[in-house]
Amino acid sequence: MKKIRITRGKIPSFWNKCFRIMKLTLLFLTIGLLQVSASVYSQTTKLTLNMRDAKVVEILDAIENQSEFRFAYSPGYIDLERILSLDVKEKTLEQCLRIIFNKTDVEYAIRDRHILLFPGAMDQGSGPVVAYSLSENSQQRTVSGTVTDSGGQPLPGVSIVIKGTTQGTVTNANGEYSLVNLPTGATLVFSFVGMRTQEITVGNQTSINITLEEDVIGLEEVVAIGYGTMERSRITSSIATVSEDQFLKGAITQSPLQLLSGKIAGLGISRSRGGDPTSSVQIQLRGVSSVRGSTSPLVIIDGIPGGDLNSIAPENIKSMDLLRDGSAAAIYGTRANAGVIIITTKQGSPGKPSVEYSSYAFTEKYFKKPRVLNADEWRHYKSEFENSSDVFLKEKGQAMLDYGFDTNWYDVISQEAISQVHDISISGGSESTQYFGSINYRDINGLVKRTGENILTERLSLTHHQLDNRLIIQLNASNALIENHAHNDEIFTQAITKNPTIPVYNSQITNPDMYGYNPAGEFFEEIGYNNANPLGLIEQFERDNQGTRFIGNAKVSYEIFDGLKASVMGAFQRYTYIYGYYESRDSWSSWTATQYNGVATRTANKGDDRTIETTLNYNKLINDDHNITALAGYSYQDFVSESMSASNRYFLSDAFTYNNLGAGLHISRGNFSSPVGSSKSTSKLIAFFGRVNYSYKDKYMMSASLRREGSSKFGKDNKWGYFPAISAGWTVSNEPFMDGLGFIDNLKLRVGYGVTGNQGIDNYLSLSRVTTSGVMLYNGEWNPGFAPASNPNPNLRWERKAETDIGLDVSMFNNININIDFYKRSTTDLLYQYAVPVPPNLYSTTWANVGEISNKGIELTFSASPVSNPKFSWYTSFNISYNKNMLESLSNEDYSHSYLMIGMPQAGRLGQSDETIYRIEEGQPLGNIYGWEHAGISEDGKWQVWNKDNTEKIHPTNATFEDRRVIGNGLPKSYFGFNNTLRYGNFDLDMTLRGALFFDILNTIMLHRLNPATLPGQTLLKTFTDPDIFALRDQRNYMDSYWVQRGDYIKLDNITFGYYIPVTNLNMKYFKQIRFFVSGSNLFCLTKYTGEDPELEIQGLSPGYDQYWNYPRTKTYTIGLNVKF
Amino acid sequence: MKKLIIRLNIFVIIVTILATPSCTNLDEEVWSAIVSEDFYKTEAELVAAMAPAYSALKDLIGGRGILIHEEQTTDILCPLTRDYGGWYDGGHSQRYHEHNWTPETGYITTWWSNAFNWVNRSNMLIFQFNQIETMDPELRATFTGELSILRAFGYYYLLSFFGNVPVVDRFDVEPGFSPSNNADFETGRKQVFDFIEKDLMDNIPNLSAAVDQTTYGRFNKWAAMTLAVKLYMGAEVWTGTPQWDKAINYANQIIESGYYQLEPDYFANFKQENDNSQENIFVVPFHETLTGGNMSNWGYVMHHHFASQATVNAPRGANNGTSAIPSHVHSFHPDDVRLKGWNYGPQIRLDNGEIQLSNRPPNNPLIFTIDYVNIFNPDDPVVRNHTNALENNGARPRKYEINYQAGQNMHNDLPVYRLADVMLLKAEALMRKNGGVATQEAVDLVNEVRSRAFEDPTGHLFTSETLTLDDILQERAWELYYEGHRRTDLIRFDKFVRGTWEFFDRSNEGDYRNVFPIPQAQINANPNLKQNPGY
Repeated sequence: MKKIRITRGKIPSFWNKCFRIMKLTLLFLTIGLLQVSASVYSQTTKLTLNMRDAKVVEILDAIENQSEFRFAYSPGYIDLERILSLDVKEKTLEQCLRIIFNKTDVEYAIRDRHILLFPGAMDQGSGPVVAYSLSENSQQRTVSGTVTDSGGQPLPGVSIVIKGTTQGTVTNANGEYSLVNLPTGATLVFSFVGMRTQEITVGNQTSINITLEEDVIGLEEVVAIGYGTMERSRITSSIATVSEDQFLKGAITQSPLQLLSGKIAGLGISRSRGGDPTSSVQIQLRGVSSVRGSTSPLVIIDGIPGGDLNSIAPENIKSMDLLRDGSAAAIYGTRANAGVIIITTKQGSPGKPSVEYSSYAFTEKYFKKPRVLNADEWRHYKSEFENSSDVFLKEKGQAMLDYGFDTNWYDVISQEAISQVHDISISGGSESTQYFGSINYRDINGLVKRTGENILTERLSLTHHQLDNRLIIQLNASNALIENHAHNDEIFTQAITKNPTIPVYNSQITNPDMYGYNPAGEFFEEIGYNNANPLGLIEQFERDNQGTRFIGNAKVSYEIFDGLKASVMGAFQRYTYIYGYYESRDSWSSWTATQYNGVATRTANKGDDRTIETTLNYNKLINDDHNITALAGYSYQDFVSESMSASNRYFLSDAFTYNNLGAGLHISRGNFSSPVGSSKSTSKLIAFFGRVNYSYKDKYMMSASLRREGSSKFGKDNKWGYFPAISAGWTVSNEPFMDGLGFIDNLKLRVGYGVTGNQGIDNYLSLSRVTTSGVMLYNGEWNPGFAPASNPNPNLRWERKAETDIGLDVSMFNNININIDFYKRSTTDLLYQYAVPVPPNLYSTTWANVGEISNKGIELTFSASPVSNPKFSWYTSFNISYNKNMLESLSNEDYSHSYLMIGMPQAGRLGQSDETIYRIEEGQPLGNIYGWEHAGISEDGKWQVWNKDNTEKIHPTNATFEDRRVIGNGLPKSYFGFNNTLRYGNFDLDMTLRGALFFDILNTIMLHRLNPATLPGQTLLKTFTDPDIFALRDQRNYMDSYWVQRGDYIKLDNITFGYYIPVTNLNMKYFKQIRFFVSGSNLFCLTKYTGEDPELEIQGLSPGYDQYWNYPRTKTYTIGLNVKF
Repeated sequence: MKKLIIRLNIFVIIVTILATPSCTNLDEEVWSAIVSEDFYKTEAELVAAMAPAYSALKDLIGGRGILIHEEQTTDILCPLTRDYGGWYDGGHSQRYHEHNWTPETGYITTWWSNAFNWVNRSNMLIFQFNQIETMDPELRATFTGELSILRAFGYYYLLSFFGNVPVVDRFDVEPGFSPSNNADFETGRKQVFDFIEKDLMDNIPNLSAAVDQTTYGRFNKWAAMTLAVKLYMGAEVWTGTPQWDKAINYANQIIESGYYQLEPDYFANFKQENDNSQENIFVVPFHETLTGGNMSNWGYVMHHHFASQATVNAPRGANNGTSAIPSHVHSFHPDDVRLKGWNYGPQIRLDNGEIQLSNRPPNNPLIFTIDYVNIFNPDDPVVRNHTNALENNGARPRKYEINYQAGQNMHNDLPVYRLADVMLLKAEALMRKNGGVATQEAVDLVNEVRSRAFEDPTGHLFTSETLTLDDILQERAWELYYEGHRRTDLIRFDKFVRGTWEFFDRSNEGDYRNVFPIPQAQINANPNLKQNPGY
């Protein structure tokens, strides 16, 4: 190898050549785990290479492909274009390198699996390279120093360039360098493949020692793309990756999806059910793309499509990749309309066993407790009203009974609960076989008594390499044992309306004659329509769920010849649940409402999901310029769900609860109103798919895929659908004309188009079926009836979404990353249970494909590491999205709607509502809240709304249908997240802020709970103090804009403060790492919304609807520990 | 090694091919239901297919059934709300009572679906039965005949409630078929009338005349004729042309058939075991567990008090909701036995004969008042009205015997048509035909019905000089209250939109409110539907 002269010519572009061999990010991420085995590895790994007239770079490539070795060097100093031939068999790396670099100056150092190449001329130790004199006139100095990696090891071969020139040097084998004749104020640029480039401005110092950090935000991140992985630089569609170190810190209370909270532009996440430990979170990607109730993304767990998130522990997840746009998701065709989340779980790596234990405990508090009257205030208002001259108030005062007690119903229903999570994992293995096993235990106790869940998850993964790594066998199995106790939302409806002078227990009563109550019961039950003791609703009802969720797969891949790999994967998922319900004999419902004397139900459910997928992968690099990857595959999945249930009533004792159904008398008395039932339902998905990726000189990339998939759910002639995708990328920064813009590390333009589907409907809807229905008196006998189960729709077909995405990825100054995506998605043939005319239809709704929704939006992600050194580092990222949604049409050739009306989503205490509160209309966005426009309170104290033309203020009873209008929109248009991670020495601080913008909330807590006309059934303080509300005194609440409030918010999702015990300094030889942390979640929220929490429903057709029966909103305080052995 | 690799390659290729099942069969396997093609084979299956058509008639007394529409909109029933603890549905029922309905009102939407459900089920089954070649022709004739009457029955309510609705008599329509109603309301309403008339005339001759187990709870000839009487009684309202003779003709056939007579005990028609009533012509059979349904709801739960169970044979307290309009209860003569169908005054316990106390503080004796006043504090200055009443205000219906201790539901069959109704209709038709002047035959019919209501009818009977049409309307209120006829009666007398009673004054209401608006949901789903005038 020639010694490279530093000349005025240009330095070979650093990035140009090394893209294809940069895989260092991965290396450095895992370097810690590999240390032990490294020396062993380099000696035991045998390489076989047979290459003719190959360039050095191709040979290095081949070695990387065959092994886990990765090369590091400064390209300008190594002659990569040299041609040679090589034929080695079963040789060690050392032997191979000796052959390759025979008779050259190139030296190498094997460090772990990291092979440093550097010019051998500098191996003499003392010979610093002299920089060329830039200007004879300027003041000049000499600077020298050592460059090391973060582990303190010297780095040879690091290039050091004087910024703005082509002059520079390279470190010697000891990592030393020296530059003479440096101009004052010169900036030195230290760069090395896989390390974050650093710039230092030379001042008066003569010695500059530099530590280069691993480039963790580097371009060569490997991204999951569906049926494979790919380097980020070759990706041509919109894929967001969140790896373990970026996951949301703090307690994960409900779902692994919380890990993504605030992390990805365009992904809205909402804890819509507050602190309910048995609920999940709502998730929405790029707007509402379907009018069908739920729109959850397809989850792929270790390659299993439709993986069940509840069967794995959040702690076992290594990374999550979100396929945002259609061109990325289309390979999963049928179920990918709402995006695809690819979850990669942790796997073992070769080396000594590594044991990790992590644990945290948390407690939850009310985020904002509704301000209800206490007993004293109740008595105060009672007497004030009774003594009023106002007949209305006088009447209400009299009706506000004083039971003589003092009860805070929110205190009664809530508990001081501690939840805890423990995770212990062991991983390790030999060169050929690696293992990972973990036990995870979660004991989550909600803020409300007897609400909670505990889950024990066991997981085992094995990876085995055989036949020179040509054969890889992977096994994963995870089983979760789940127990939870559900609750009845009526608890919260009652707690917010309950008179605070009522006693909780009958035992508190001294004069039983005075009050109507259930003398047999433990809990004081007030008499009246729909009145229940909230604690009774908790204590007197069993709602026990016990389940297991298993997910397991086996994958065998075999490299038939170089570049061609065949894989077969079989996967199995099963859930089984047994549910027990019991309603005590003296419970509110059994006693006052039905007199059933105890009701017991048992339900058992089982679901199986079997998958077989075969794939063929082909990878070929032609002439170093053309990289081709091809994939072909077949997928078969079937789903079976079965259930049975039985119930009985009239028990003589509560002792059995649901454990002795036969003891009830209801069935033996000859009652047949469906006390037993069972069902079974099956469906299938079959697909053929293929994909080709091509890149030319890593400048021009293209990807095309096609999936043909069939679902049993659709009409006979409509079962199969095609889901094509095509995308292309152009790495502009690899073009020669970009060389002048050295600060731009990467600039890539992406364009993609893809079609995906939605089949998320019930089975059998296309078929004409008859099922049991009613009885008929026929010749004196009661005969059972059978009737059609639904309006069949033999034309039922896919809901299709076509999406175009244009994206730009920019990396600058080696630490700033910016991604921008524009998208337009259009969903046609919307699946929905459409209202159909009656007649001719038997039922008023039919599942059909009608209409079109479009979403347009922009997503921006920005991340940077403004400070990065071993002492102090700061990583910051910000993401924001804006989405514009439009219901283009609600009609097809058969059906025609100009709008759909959505009434109150759930009947409440105020009875069922027939009134429209949301309206879905052609040419309008989804989520429109609909009603009258509030027009203030009239002089004589009456509620007013505007008439149609806004010319007259009228009383709502005189307002018409036509006076209503859109009075808000409940769907956030914009989500944002702001993440910061700071490390100082052994301390770290992590903070996630997130929020949603541009939406309104229909505050039904106010709408239903602030009506003085229904006093004394109201206890919210505002009912008694707000003069506006008193305008409703002799009226009812009307659905007008008064109850609609701006919902925009920003909240501190999580703040975590951690400390690493310096185990090496303290000589704690058995520990690799010990970390403590404290964390707080949902600590504050900035919003104008006056309800509990503006984080509400973001899915469905009535987003932004704050239900008055919601589980309380909570904030969480956590302490935790993480130990590595 | 090389050989091994080659062998392995072959092996892998074979395995891959084998593991790629050629299975592309996506036919659905149905487990918990029956695919229609495999059904309708045996007689038992055909009866089972017929059952849902009849069991759908339970909707007549359902949560949004006939009492809501025909009585809660009139001077008989009121959706009463009381102070704390009382039943309240957010004001929906009260708005309905006050005639403040809109095309979005759920009660209306539901009724459209209920009535068309009967029509659609009839159309579907007629079509299916005609397709089944193996079906016994006699059974087919019986079933399709009854189904045609069921269709006419559904259209009768649609005619009365909505007027101009689409006429559909087929099931085998193209997907997306959206039937239209007539562009002109009156013409459309007449077409509906004509369709019902044709269905009746075509099928009455083929129906069974038997009045026994074989036709109980089903449409026999007499039930169909009663429907014809009711149809022709409304002919003037619905078509502009009165058809009193036809109404009289069918009423005569029913009366003269000899199958029916007035039960000596008025309440025998509403008893728990009312299936042997001689007077009921058409009923919807209920069974406390087999049918379920809402007999207990409207028989007791909707209106009685939280503490009422000890005063009647009920297992539970009720919801303290619906009550009578005071003027209706006041209008009865005190000796009229039918007044006993309204429960007011002290509530006596069945076990010890003492007055039941309210179970709410201050535990006043439970005394239902006809008027909405505060009997415990007469000085209470608050003017009571239907939205602001006390727990004891309002008389409660107890026309249907309340007895369902064991079964959670009531056994009483719902009388839809009974002879007294037919007799009063005939009397009315005779008078109307006679220019509104009573005939002796009319007087006799009214007096026969009325005599039963008094232990000693002396002084309570009409003569041809005293009987007026308004007397007949009033008599119908006394005889047929809580059976779901009032609104149609008031419209026939042109008093529905000119009503004035307590808490309600709609003397200036537009005539258009004599029919309900076509549900907005239906108009949205079917662009060929034209909204009724005025809405």
